[in-house]
Amino acid sequence: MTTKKSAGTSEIAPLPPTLGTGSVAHQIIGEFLSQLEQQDGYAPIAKKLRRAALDMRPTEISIRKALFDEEPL
Amino acid sequence: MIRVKSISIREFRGIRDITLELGGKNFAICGPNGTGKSGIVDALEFVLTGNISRLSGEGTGGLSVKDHGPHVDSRDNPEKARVSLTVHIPSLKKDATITRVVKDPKTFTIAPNTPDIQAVFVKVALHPEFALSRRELIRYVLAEPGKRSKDVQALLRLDEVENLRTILQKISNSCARERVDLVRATDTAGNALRQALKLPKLTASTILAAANEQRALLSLSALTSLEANTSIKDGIISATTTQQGVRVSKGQAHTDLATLKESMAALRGAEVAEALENATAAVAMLAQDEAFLKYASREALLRSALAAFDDRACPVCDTPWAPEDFRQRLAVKLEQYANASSRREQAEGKLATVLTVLDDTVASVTTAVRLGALLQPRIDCAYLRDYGQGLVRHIESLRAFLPIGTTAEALAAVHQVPAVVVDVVASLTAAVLALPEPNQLDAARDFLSVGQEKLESYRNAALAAKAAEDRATTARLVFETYGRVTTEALEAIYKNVEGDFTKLYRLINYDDEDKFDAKLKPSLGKLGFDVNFYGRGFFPPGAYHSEGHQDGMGLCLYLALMRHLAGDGFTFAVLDDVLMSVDSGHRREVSKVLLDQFPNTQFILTTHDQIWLRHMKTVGLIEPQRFVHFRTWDVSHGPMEWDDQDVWGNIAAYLQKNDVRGAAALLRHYLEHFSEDICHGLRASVEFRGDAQFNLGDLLPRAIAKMKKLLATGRSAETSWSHTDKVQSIVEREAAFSAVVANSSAEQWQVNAAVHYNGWANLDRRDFVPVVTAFKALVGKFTCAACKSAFYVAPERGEPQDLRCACGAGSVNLIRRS
Repeated sequence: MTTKKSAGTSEIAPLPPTLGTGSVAHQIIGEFLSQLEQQDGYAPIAKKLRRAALDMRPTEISIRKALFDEEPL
Repeated sequence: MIRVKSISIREFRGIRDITLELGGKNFAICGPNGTGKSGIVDALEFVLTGNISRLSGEGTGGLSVKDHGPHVDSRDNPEKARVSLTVHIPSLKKDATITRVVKDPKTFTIAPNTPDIQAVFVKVALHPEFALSRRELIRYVLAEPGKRSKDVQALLRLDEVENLRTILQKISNSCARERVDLVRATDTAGNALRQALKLPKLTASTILAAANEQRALLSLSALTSLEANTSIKDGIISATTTQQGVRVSKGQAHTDLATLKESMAALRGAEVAEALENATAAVAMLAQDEAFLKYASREALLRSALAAFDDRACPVCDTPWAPEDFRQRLAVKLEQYANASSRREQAEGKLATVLTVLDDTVASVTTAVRLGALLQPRIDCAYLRDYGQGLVRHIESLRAFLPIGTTAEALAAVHQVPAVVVDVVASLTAAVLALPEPNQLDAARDFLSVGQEKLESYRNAALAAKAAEDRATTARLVFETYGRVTTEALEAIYKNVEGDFTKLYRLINYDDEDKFDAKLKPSLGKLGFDVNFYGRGFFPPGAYHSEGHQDGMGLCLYLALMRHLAGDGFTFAVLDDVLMSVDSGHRREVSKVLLDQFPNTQFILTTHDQIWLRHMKTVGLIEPQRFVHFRTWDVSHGPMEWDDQDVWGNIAAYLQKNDVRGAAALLRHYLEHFSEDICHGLRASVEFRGDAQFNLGDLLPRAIAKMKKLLATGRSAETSWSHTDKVQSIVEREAAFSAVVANSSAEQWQVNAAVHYNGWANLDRRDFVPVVTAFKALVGKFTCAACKSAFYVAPERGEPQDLRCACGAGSVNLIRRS
């Protein structure tokens, strides 16, 4: 990702879009996950969803895996 | 996130080489259209994001950053086109420089290179909304609700929220459909089991009773309970034989045929007839409704497109789409068809009974066709197979619902059973009857084997249905929770933004709209925006408010959204000619709002209007040296400033070429510009002109007279304070000022300015050099020798207290001792 060019200076390759922590969207999604976690039996799902929704760009496949432990065929 | 300290631009867009020192402070870029202002905005966007919106947005086909980012003379050398930006990062208390070259716009160089600084620049790159142009501003105000919602959500980066909502909804809908299918399959398997065991009702005890009765005949132990893995044929030793009676269980075959006949009879029975009548009436009514047909077919197309979308391109036209954009666009369209969708669902509900019987019939037909192939001699079931396939097509038509004509045809045809089919069923029945009766033991074994097979099918179907039920429950709860939480959160955000927006707008328009109010109304995929029009009710902003008010609303909404989005991180914004329609009275208030309400935000403002620039300076939004004023632009040199060094150098260049006409024109143009600023700063009385077009004769004599008067007032004031040294200093300044005035003969211009102006054009270079020298000296006396800033009177309104310069070295007190 980063290659040294000279002391104190480096060239940065394009970074993948990262979801800035603390963004408005993340605050909202985080609130949803907290409330889901409080539902009976949904804490494990909330934990997996947190990874799928906040740590990476969510897709239908990744969310299904978080909800149902489904692997794509 | 950042504050810009300086920017250096080389061979970029219309700019050859320019460096601006912003010092982390508010900064204005002023100049007529086409003098390079937007080139600087483009450079800021490019260095921070690698993109230039004007070359990559809608309607820019054929343009690209790589090909059209460099200056036209460097288009073959994109490596020369570069922008460097030095910023201060308040959160890190560090300075850093980022450089980007057009040749490779996706990469950038930073110094010093530390992870925390990298992270800041990466974050800034994800927020191109720091720059707001008038085109973008107005879209927040005048856009239709669906588009506004998207733009506002994009500004707040809420597209991530919508993207996840779309995914969760898709999964929930898919799970609900899957559950229905699997419950239906379970019912079918249950019926098959019930019929195989010849039971009126399917329970564990009835199954055990039926199985144990047959097991007793085979001397097998009785089963005491029916568990998930219990086999009712446990203990049977499989036998292989070529006897036909063993290959086909007569009893089961008989049951299967009986089931088929029951299904076919049900299709012609009273219950189905009534259901068909109701469904046919509902479908006929819809078939005559042109509006329904129009919207329902579009809705069906959109739903099909949604289902077939592969997250890359529209399945209909192959146009590439970002997944969230595509789903959002279709969601908005689908909402328009909600009425058609509701009526369709009501009609589909009337088809349920018919479809259940049809599903059962198809299953029975399939079993019977299979039976025909096993019998010896084989029974030709082609007609029966064709009948079954016809029913499947009818089922597909009924489930698809559209085109509605096909649904009506299916409803008319489903109860018809061709005579040839009845004949085939009769042939099968006869062949089964002709089968040798199995002995009691064989019959019992067949009963248990077939029963176990059906039981396993039923168990598998029930397990799949249970799993689907669980998934559907989970998906629905998660989706509903998400919907509830996000709706509450969005409503809270919009309420907050609505309040902030209203406050900012009232501050700007306190004179005539101090009771102004606004409503931001979010709904699925839409954001309504209505504003109060002088107490007459709430209307869309474009309904009655002037263009100028709409511009103000756009800016206030942007500022409120950005403050909510970035909070303390809202340290930097570019406002690119965003207030061109706002009248001068309200521009002053805009400047105050920016200064007072956003003290931690560095604004970079562009305008073609010098009056707007003056307002910014007067209010204090722009410090004396924190602006650049372009006077012209040409392709070879790029933008040229109203800058002393620049102007006098240009005049000298004209004279070098003996172009006195060019030198005279530039001198006059500059003196007019300079005089305007000086008259404004010194609060000189100038004859009012409604068109604000003042010539040099209107301005410079007034400026000179006012300067003389101010120096005289200062001398008198310092005398009253007995500040003899200051009095002496002012006296010297008065003498020097009078000398340069006399030397320039400025006071004589007003007699007949036109003669003098035309006369300049007829002078020889040697005649004109002293004129230039005299006016340069005169200009110099209106500026501080130490800091080079122009003198101005403070305060701007009310009794003058001081003649000031930026550094204070040349300031003069104007207040006498009382």
